Amino acid sequence: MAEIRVKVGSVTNAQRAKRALLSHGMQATVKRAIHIKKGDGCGYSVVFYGDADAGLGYIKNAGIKIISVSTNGVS
Amino acid sequence: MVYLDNSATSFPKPKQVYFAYKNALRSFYSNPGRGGYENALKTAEKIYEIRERAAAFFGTDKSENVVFTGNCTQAINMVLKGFLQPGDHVLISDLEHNAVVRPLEGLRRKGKIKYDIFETDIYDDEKTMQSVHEKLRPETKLLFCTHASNVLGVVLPLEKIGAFCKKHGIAFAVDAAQSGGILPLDMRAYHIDYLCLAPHKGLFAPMGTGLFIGEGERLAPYTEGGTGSASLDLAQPRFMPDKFESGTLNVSGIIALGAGIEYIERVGLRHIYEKDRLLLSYLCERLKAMRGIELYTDAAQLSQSAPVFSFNLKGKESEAVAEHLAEKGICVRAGLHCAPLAHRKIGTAQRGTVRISPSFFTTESDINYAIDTIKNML
Repeated sequence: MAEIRVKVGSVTNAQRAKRALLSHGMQATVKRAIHIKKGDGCGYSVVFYGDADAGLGYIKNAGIKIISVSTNGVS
Repeated sequence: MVYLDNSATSFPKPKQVYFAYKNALRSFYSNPGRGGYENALKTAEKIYEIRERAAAFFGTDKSENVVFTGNCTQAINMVLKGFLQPGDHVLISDLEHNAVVRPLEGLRRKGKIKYDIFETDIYDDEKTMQSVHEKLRPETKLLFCTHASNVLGVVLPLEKIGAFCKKHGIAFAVDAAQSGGILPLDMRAYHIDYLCLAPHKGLFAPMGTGLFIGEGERLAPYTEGGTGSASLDLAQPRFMPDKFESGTLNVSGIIALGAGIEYIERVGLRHIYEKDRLLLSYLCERLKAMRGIELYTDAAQLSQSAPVFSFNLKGKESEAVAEHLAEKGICVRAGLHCAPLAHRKIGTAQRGTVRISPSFFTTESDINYAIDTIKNML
C-alpha cells in the first residue's frame, strides 16, 4: 500500500489531520516533514496508507491547508 | 496553615496535578513542535490532547484556537493590543482588574483608543445591561469584561452581555481568571469571541500557565518568533495556534493543566461550585452576625458568585488584619487586589479590603478557624 505523506505545516495541524483521518477509520501518524524546500520551511506531515484521494479529502474538509503531498517518497 | 488565597493561586492542587507535573519533567522532556523523534512527537501529542480537552471544556470544538500563554494577563494583552485599531472604542465594567485596565489606559494615553466604563449592579443584571446600553457608541468595537470580580466574587451576566454584543456587532472578550474551572462557562452559548484564563487558579494548574481561546484572524500577533513551522517565511505564521505561540511552551505546566481539567471533569464542575457556594454562604452568614465587620456583598442574595469574599474590620487597616491572620497561620490577601475600579465602586480605594477565597479543598474547619480568629480581633 502506498505511503502518503502530507505536509501540513505545524505539529498542531498535523495532529488535526491525524484526527481527521482517524475519525474516518484511516490509520495515521505524525512525522517531521522531510522536504524543507517544498513549501515554506520546517514543519510536520501526517502519514497514512491507503486511498490518497479520500485521505486528502478528509484533511481538506477539516479545514487544514495542505502544503505538499508525496507518495512513496515521490512528490 | 489555612490557605484562603485561592483567588491569587489555588492551593493545594489535586494530587493528580502534582503527579502530572513531576512526571512531565521526566517523561515529556522534548520540545513539542520542533523535533521528529519519538519523545518530541509524544510530547506534542500530549499537548494537543490538552488543547482538545480545554477547547471542549470551554465550549468550542476548534482545538487549534486554544493558545497557551504564560498567564492570563498575557492573554488579555494579546486581545487588547492585537485587536484594537486607532479610533476604536471599548467598553469595560467597573469591576475590571488592572490586567484589563492598564493596557487599555496605555493605549488611550497614546491617543489610539477610547474606552468607557459601564456600571455593574451587584444584585440586578437588568441595571447592568442598562448601563451597557447607555455607554455604547457607534465606534464601539469591543466589550471586555470580567466573568467574576476578584474582589467581590460578583458574577457578570455574560449570557446577556454576549447577546448584546452579537446584536450590535461588537467583539466580546472575557477575563475568566476567577471563574474558569469554578463557574459554568460556554463560549458558544455566551457568544464569547475571546476568552482569557488563569489556569493556576480554578483549573488547578501550576503558576506560569495561561490560556487564550478564540479565533485569531482579527488579532495581530502579540509576540513573534520561532514556532517550528513555516520557517522559511520571515513573517509570523498566520495559522493557529502558531500565530501566537512563539518560543518554547511551558510543557510540564500545560500537562499539569490537563490533569487539572481532567480532575474537574471527573469530580464535576457543579459539585465543585456547590461546595464553594456553601462555604461562601456559611462564611458570609457567620461574619454578618458579628458586630464590627463591614461586608460589601451578601452572598445569599447573589444568584451566582465566585468563591471570593471581601470584608473589613471597623477601624482597622485591611493589611493589618491580614498581617494578624498571617501570624495565626491564615493566608489571605488584603489591599486593592490590583482592582482599583472595584475598590472605588465600594468605597475602599483608600484602605482596601481583606479578601478570603476558599477552594474545593477548603474545609468547614478551615473556615471556622478563620472566623474564630477574626472574632477574637474585634
